[in-house]
Amino acid sequence: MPGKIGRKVILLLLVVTVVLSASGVFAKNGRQDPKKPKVTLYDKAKKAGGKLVVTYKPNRGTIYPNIEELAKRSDMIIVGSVLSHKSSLTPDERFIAQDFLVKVHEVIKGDLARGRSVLVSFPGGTHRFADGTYAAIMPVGFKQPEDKGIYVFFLKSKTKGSAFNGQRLVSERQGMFALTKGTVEPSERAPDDPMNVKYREMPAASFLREIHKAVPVKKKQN
Amino acid sequence: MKRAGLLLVLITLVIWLAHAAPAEAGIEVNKQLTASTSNLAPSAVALPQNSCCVNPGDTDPHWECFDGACVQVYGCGQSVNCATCGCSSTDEWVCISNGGYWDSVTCSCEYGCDPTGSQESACISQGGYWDSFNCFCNYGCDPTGSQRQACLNAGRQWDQATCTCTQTDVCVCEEEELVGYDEYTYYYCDGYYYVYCTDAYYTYYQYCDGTCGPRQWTESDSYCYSYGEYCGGGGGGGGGGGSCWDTGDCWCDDWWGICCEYDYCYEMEFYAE
Repeated sequence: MPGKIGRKVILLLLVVTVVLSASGVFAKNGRQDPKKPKVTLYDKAKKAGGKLVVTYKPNRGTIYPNIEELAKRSDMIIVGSVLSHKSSLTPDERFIAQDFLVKVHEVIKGDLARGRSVLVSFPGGTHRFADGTYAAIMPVGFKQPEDKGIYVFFLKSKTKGSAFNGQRLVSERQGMFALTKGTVEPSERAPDDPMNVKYREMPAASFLREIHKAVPVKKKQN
Repeated sequence: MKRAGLLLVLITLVIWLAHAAPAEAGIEVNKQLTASTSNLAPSAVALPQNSCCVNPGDTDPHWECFDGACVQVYGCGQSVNCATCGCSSTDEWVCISNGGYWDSVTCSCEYGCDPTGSQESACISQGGYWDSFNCFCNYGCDPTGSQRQACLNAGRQWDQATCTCTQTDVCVCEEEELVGYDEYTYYYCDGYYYVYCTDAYYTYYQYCDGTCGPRQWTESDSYCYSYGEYCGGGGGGGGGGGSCWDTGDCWCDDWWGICCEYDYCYEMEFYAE
């Protein structure tokens, strides 16, 4: 009997050891070694012969089925027109982001003083280094905003330590809808995406009504 | 027996009549009687109560919301609180598409002094802070612009960056000259079609006499276009590392050609000219 218990304990220990070892291996594969020197975009562009063009595919791990779900998770929802945009290297020089200056026409959710504009940051853009080396990160699968366009942005609050100058979309692919042509054009381009199925080509006024249904009007406190 | 049969027929007739009444009212449902175009319409308007409504609390006619307006309609139904109807989304869109600011609490539109945003854009690109209430570009050290104006009136040069008025007269500058041009062309697959891009950088030089001295700057211009050449289906999934997105704990693996940092991931898919 004691022999049987002893074997069981040894077996259990073995299983624990194997699990711990495996998790250690995966962790090593999945995480960057802190001792490994960081490779900047400049380094990569130099290695690529002075010009680097890479594509950027945002994660589609989470797909929201409708604007109600998107609105629930947004800290701020605004309707605004893009005044201008500018690309810049992130502080760690490993990525390029584009900041879009947005003139706010309506705040549907969140607190924003009237007349304030908002800076919305998107991944991707181009950068030319001082010696002429060039890097471009081009987003694929979703449409970026265009200057003078009118959009609805579903935004999350700016997180501390973020590499981006402005606020980010709550969902990188689904969190923006163009209304420029008077009808809805979701930023997500996959035709089978729920946002495309439900809202593409919907008249702008109807779409705004849908958003207001999802976000009840907050009465101002006097 | 005959009496009992007559009673049964009578009871059946009464039940049939009681159920027939709402069905007749249903024909009138959605027929608009009156409409309040404001969300400020009274929430408790006295309505003629129709005893034919089956469900308790229902009235005929009753109030319903329609595109921000409180509308009285025939038929049985629960009346909404008109204050919850919101605004007309048609008015809202007209306001927004014309550059106005829409207040969804008061259902009002306000067109500021800069509906296109061109003044604001110019102000910010010059390093100023846009005051939308006064429609004024604030450069910090000269919030009212009076110093700048006084300097220019005196025939001197105003430096917006340092907010200083130079003692010398306004510098005389020669025509700007294009001294450098760099062009970068590339293409990539945007998930559906090939996109061809060109980024151009123009470097200018301008000689100015006096204390201004020569100056040099670079302007850039970029454009992309597509011929509609299909290159593959649908953009695919993420760049890998799902946990990176959830926890903010990111990693980068050059060997695998995948990189996730902060909350962005990308594939190292190279494109040559």
